[in-house]
Amino acid sequence: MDLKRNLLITTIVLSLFGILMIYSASEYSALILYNDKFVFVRKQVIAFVAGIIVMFLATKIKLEVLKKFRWILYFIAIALLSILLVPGVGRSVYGATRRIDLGFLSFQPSEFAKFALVILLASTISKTNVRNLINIIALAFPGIIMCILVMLEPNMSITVCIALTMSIMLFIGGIRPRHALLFAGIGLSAIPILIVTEPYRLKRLIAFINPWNSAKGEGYQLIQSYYAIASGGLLGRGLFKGMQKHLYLPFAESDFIFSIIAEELGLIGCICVIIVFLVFIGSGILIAIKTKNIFNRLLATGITSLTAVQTLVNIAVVTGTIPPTGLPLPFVSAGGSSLIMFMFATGLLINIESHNKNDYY
Amino acid sequence: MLITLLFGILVVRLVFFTILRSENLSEMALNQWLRELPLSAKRGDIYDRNGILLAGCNTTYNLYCRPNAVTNKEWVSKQLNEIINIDENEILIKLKSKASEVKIKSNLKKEESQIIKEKGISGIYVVEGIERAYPYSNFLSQVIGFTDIDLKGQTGIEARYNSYLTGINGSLYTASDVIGRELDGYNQWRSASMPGYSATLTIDYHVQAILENAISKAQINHNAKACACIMMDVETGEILGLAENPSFDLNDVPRDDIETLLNLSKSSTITNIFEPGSTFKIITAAAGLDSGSISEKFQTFCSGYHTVDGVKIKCWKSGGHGTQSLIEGIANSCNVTFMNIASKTGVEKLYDYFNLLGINKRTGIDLLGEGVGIKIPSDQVKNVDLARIGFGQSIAMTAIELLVSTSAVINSGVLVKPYILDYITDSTGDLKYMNYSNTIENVISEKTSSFMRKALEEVVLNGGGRGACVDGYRIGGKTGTAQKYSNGVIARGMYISTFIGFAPADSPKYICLFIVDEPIGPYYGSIVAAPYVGEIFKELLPYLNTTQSEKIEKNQQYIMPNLIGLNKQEINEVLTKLKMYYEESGDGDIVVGQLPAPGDYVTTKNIPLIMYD
Repeated sequence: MDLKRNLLITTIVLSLFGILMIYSASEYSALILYNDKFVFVRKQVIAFVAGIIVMFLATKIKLEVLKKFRWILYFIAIALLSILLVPGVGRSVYGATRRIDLGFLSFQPSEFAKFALVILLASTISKTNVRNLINIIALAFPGIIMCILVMLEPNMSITVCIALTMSIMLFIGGIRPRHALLFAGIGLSAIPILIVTEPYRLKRLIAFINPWNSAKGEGYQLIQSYYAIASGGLLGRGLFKGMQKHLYLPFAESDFIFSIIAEELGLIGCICVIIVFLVFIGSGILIAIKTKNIFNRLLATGITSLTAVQTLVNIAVVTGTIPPTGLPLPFVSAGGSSLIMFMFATGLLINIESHNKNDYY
Repeated sequence: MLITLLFGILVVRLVFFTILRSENLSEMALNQWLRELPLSAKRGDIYDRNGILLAGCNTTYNLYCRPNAVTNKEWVSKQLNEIINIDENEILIKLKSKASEVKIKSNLKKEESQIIKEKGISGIYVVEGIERAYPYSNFLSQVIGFTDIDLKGQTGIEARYNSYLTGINGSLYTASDVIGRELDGYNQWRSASMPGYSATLTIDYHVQAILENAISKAQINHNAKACACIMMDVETGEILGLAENPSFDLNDVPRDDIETLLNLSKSSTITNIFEPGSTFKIITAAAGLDSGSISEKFQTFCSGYHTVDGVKIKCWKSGGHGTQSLIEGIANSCNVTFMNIASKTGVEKLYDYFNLLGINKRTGIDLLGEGVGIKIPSDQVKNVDLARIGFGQSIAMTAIELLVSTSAVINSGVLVKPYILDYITDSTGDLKYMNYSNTIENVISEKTSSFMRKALEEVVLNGGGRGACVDGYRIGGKTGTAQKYSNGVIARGMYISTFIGFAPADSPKYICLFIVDEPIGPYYGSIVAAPYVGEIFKELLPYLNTTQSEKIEKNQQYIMPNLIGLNKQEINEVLTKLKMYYEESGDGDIVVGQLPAPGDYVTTKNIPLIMYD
């Protein structure tokens, strides 16, 4: 099994499929809102081309360099996240400030920050004795800082992703099970506090439990997602033939693109997409297992977990399995920063696998 | 592994939605996607009794565009300009509009819409609508009534039978986006509309046309404020015609001025009450006779006035009629005769007969807003009032009340309920509703009725009703000239002239009430109203297949003598010798004017008007 090839093919397949679905999901809304069918598609294609280059570079760079620059990368991420907190710098959408807009391009610092943290953690965990609780707290500290900053945007979903990825990395890094339980306990008890501090989260939670009670309010998006999935049925309405994209389903081209896939390509289409993701994630896991170098292994673990967690959370939200939260589907959802960063990360995975091969021969 | 398990859970979730709850949720989704456009149902037609269409529906063609679906706007506007002849730039502005749907032109010609449909230009389409259409425009307007823009009946039959005439709208379901913009390339679904039921009236188009002509003529000739005429089948209560002026065009309803429209659109013969005047004498005479208070041999001496409880009440003929038999009293419409009849009959009996004859009760005619007359409560009627009621004053009623009660008097005491709608059928011709003739018999005896017919025929032959005389037919009738009230006081110079006529006089079939409201110039019912009823019967009776009577009355022709300068006494002698019935106006004794002018050819049918100084 050629894991590198698996990764390359799944990445390109998912990205190109994403571009196709973004076109289907956004051509109507883009025409209405921007008078241009291809607004989202064009951005995604540019990001894809940039992603290919970035991915190629990622397969070539020396992983030691990343390790060396871990703190620099981390502080850049922290700096960018902090800038968002300065009023007027970031672009506010729906009450949250998550993007920096430079005019000619805008990007989402948290997309970069996730991976910066993965690199930092891979490095620090590999150098530390994680069987000591104090050490673990010290290791987790930069992650917690980052989580707090992301929460201030506010962006609950990315925070959860970061926290979960961090936990998986620590677990793979070999922390004691009781320490893991302790952290899990702290993490879980934080959730009610987070919910109570922001009233909209509570509303969303209630809407999640029974969306029909607020079909025009909080529950609207979830219901629209249900409509899309249900009307798709087994085989779907056919590519480009969806109805929900006609402004019924908000964020159809980004966070809720999976609903459009379900509507147009049906259950069969969804399972195919999930299988491709499983191939990607499986390949990532195999690489992590094979890798002997601790830093490399943890890096592979982090990247793979991040991809897996984000994919799971996205599909779970779309299917109403967990409370709604905005998170793009890796490689597929419209969003340049996300695509470029995931392709860069894939490049790193391929890079790691290349080193493994070198070890064997 | 854990990851596969988690994805497995999500797949199960997807199976749940795509398979298990698919039907239920898809249906809800479908409701959300489909925009419902009403397909207007055709409103039921209205026909006259011969099946002549009085109210129907037209299909209208309206041109719309959906700007974002029009690709080559310049080319399209040029194409449309050639077909509908609207300025190219004007069309272009609409095609470039940001709205989802823009109306380009209403009421296209059918051929135009055909051409546009054939062209099949994307984003350009014709929407069909339905509008009410009245083939005869200003005809039977108050009775038919009109609808609002949504085809809901507002007045007349349109309002009264609205629930039958209204169809059930269908729907056109079109896939649309979240704010209702129609989407191309998706199916449309249609649920058909149900047409409304059709109504057939008792109205006869030909009768109505004659009535309409007659009132128009009378209104012009006498500069009257208003004119109205009702024709009814005496035996059944079917209204054959009901014409009123001023009127309006049903196809161009003056909706801007609500007050005027309200006045124009109501049937004043049914809604308004008036003091009937002399036509009411028929009722007084019938009540007196039938109650046995007077006999057919009843006689009165008229000296020109009658004193009741010290109040001197004048007869219309200031010189007096002299000794009058009952028949002469009726023929000459002598007020003193009727004051006496009323006094002899008494309030109680008189009011009993009013009740029996349906006076001051609603007739129940099937039009909205029927009024009801008023009278002085029986315990408050003074002798003076009673005397006045005898000749049709101090009592008010609607024209339809007067018509129906008179009809009962002349038709053997059969009181009918008048009606205008005959029956209603659905689109397949199945009967859905029907009005039956509804009568109460013997409200007065045949003996009284028979005498009244004879007396009223005498009015036409030798009395004030001569104008209504028709060669070859026996006509009966009675004139009336009522004073109008304004703010509770008699208004000087304002009269309502009426004539109520029926034919054939010996066995009545048709009854006709003619009303001229505020004529200028002569105002006697004998001059202003009776001749029109004569004209109406002359045209109608042959059409209605009424058998001619054998007693053919040849009208004698005279040359109108010069009467100017004569006094009242001399006038009486001259005209009585000529067997002429005449009307007088003015308080003096010397004639200063006459109609017709001296030297004109006249017949006994003409009633000259003598004007004193």
